[in-house]
Amino acid sequence: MRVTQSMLSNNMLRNISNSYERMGKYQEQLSTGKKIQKPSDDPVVAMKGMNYRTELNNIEQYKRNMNEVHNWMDNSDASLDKATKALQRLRELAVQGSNGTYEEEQRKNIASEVKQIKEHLADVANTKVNDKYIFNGTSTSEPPVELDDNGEVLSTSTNGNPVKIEVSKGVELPTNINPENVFSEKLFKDIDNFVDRLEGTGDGDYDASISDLDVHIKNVVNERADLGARMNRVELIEDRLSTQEIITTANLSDNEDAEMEKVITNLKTQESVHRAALGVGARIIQPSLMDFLR
Amino acid sequence: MSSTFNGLEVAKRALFTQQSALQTTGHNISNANTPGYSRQRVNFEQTAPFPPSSRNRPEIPGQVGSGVQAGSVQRVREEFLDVQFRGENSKQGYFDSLTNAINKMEEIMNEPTEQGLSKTMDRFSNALQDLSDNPQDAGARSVVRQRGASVAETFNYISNSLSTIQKDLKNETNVTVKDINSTLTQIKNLNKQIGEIEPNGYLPNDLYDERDRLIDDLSNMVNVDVSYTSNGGKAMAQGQVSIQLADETGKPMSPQVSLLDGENMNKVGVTYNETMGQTLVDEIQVGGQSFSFDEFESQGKLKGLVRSMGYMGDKPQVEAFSVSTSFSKVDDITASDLDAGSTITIKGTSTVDDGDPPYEQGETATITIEDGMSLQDLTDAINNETENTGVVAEIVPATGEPGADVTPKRLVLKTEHVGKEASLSVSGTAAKSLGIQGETDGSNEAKGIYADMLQNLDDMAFAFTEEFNRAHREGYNLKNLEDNENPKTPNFFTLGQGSYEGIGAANSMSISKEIQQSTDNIAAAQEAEGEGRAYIGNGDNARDLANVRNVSLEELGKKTSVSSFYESIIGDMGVQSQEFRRLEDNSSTLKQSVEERRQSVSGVSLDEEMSNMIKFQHAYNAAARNMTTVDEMLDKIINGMGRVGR
Repeated sequence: MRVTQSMLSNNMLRNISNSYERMGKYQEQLSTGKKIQKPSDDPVVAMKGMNYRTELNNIEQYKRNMNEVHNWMDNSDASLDKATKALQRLRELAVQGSNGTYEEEQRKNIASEVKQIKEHLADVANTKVNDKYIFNGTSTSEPPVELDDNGEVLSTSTNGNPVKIEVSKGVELPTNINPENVFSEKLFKDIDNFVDRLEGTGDGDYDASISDLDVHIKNVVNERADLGARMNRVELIEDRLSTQEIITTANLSDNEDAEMEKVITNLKTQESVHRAALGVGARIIQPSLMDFLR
Repeated sequence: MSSTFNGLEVAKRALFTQQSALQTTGHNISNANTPGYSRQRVNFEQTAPFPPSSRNRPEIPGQVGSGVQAGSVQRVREEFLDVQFRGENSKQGYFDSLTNAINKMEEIMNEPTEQGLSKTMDRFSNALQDLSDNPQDAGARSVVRQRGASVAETFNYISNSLSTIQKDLKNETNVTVKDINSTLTQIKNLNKQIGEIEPNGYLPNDLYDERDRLIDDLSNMVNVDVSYTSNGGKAMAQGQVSIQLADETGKPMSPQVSLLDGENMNKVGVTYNETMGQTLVDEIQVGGQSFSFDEFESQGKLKGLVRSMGYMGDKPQVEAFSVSTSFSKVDDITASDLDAGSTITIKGTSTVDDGDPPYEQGETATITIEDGMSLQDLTDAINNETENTGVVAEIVPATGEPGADVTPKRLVLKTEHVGKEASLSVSGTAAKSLGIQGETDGSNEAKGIYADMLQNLDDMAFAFTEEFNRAHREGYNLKNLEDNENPKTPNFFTLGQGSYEGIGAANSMSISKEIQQSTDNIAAAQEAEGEGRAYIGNGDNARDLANVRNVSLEELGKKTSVSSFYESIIGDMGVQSQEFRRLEDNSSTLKQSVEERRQSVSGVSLDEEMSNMIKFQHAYNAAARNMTTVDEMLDKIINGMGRVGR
């Protein structure tokens, strides 16, 4: 085959340009840390990457939702704890009141404490978190218990709708408790009856008050137990989300992150090849017969 | 007997011939880097020996040589390699334009990244999830509105960017067509010059080179088959070139399509059609013949560009249509938008089953708006006015307005005939107030890289908008928590005024004006069971909205959600781009290797020219010495003879 100078120089130019292209690719991989820069570099990796990203994004969102779940549950639990303490104090007072040696004056004192506790219970029922009433089902903008100026209860919550928050794909947890089980109309009525008995306008049947209060205490405890069980479940789901996050992140990284040591090695190899190509080119192109003719 | 001065003549011929060889060597060296140049060679021939055989030949020994002459100056070139080169060159041109086009598309789609459409939709879902956690929170509502707007804007941006590139490709197509025609014109002129020179027995090598170079350029744009017809003159003369379009295999297309035949050339042209919000290639024309994309089998840059920007296929797809403005008072349109007594004049294209062509223009019909007419009355009037208008009227719910099952509604006029021949013209005073004045055309299916992507985005935006709005309307917003009768929940997104059945959806998508007015219109809540009302603390609907992108939708094919549809179009684009790049690499490598072989045959080697130069120089010097020898002989004869006895 006949070979001419221009063939050699064209070949050399083409090879050097290819070599630059390869170096450019490795450089881009190094500077972005990604195996691929656009879908056509590896369509499968690109599609998987989109999928993993969406999945990771969902997991992060569920973790954010978790914070909101905790917000509801922890505050509900704390408030129910307060309510339990208040009801227990009421029961103590009921036991005291049933003591036959008490004077009318002393009973009046007890009655005023009971009234205070009743208002305290109403306050607990009207607990607000982030500007939301947590004991009024889905009607979070209205107070569940309304009192008039004399501390008479006008209305209690009848909204038993669950406030649900999604914590993983398709799992929606109710985060609130049913106000009708705890701060029911009957609770305040029973307390009113108790006050009447203490003030001497009632039937004086303190045992009825004690057993009424026992029922309410049991209700609150049951509701708290239910909430506790749900909180345990939340912890399990949180664990699972954390694991999922780690796995998905690892998958995302495995799928599309460049292996630095590999890329650096490739780049180094390519650099030496490039130098060799340039060196050889310089030698080939220069001499021709002209250089040897006098 | 040969002449006394024979020796001088022989030496002179040698001098002249070696000199012309030296000149040609110089020409080769000068053109060592000229594109398209093939090296030239002087073919030495011996001149007729003496004596010729004849009756009165002198009786002398043998035939004596009479020297040398330059027979012809010839290019060293291998025609067969040209054919191979041109075939690969046209493939390379085809795949190169496809690769460039789809690379730009990949840059615009910008996936997988933290800024693409996919991520924007992720963020929108996140905002809706946050709203479902805090349905009361005005801040969460504002974020939903902003992120919703940025989903719509991202759709708009991608669609617009793709359209811009599509327009650039159209310009490039036009430039390529101009290029083809100007190259053909230059080849035609060379044909003429060559035709004038050849009969005189010369070989216009440099014109041949120029012509071959131009045909090489042409072959990058369209695949050609080249043949020659003789003009007379030398046997080595190439003659005039005829150029025909060739298919992928390099054979002439059948029936044959001639670009150039001697000095008659057929111009190439491309016609466009504006339809479905896109400009598409309708036909490619050569001389008086028209070809659709599929019929135009000649690969090359031109076909690559047409495939990139998009073209009309053979299958009719869309009728010519026009969409009116929205009517809020459907029962009495004269109360709101239209004046009684105003008219609307329409004319369309109708189908005739056994006709040839299978469609015909309908008759012109004029409808007068009467006082108290309802939209349904107007529709009936148009449909009944005359059977032969070729136009069908329909009422469609306007998107981006409250409730699909209630007002406002829009009137759609469309032709009975579907396809690119369909046309619809609407005029009249009522047409003006209806907002549907003018002429529109139907369309065949759009194909091609950019056309497909734009259509896919439209389909996706349309399906997402429709489903999202449907889910949104089912919910309760802050203004109708108590009851859902008054007012109804509005749509969240809206599509542009002229958008119909998804055409132009991606380009015109935006959030509806109700949502724009107040974030209170965002419906986060669902009805509490059995109560006929919703409560503010319920965020179920926002959660459903967050999951809309993962719901399987009929419009996008069986069991395909918006998310997976988008993933698949990006995946397809990647695979296609990879494929084009591979084919472009292959054809480019093959082209290079043919070019290498061509260079090996025709390229100028300086070393070779130098050694030739020395060879001819020595021969020249020797011929000069020969002449001196003969000179001395003659000197002896003329000045030294006959001096005996002096």
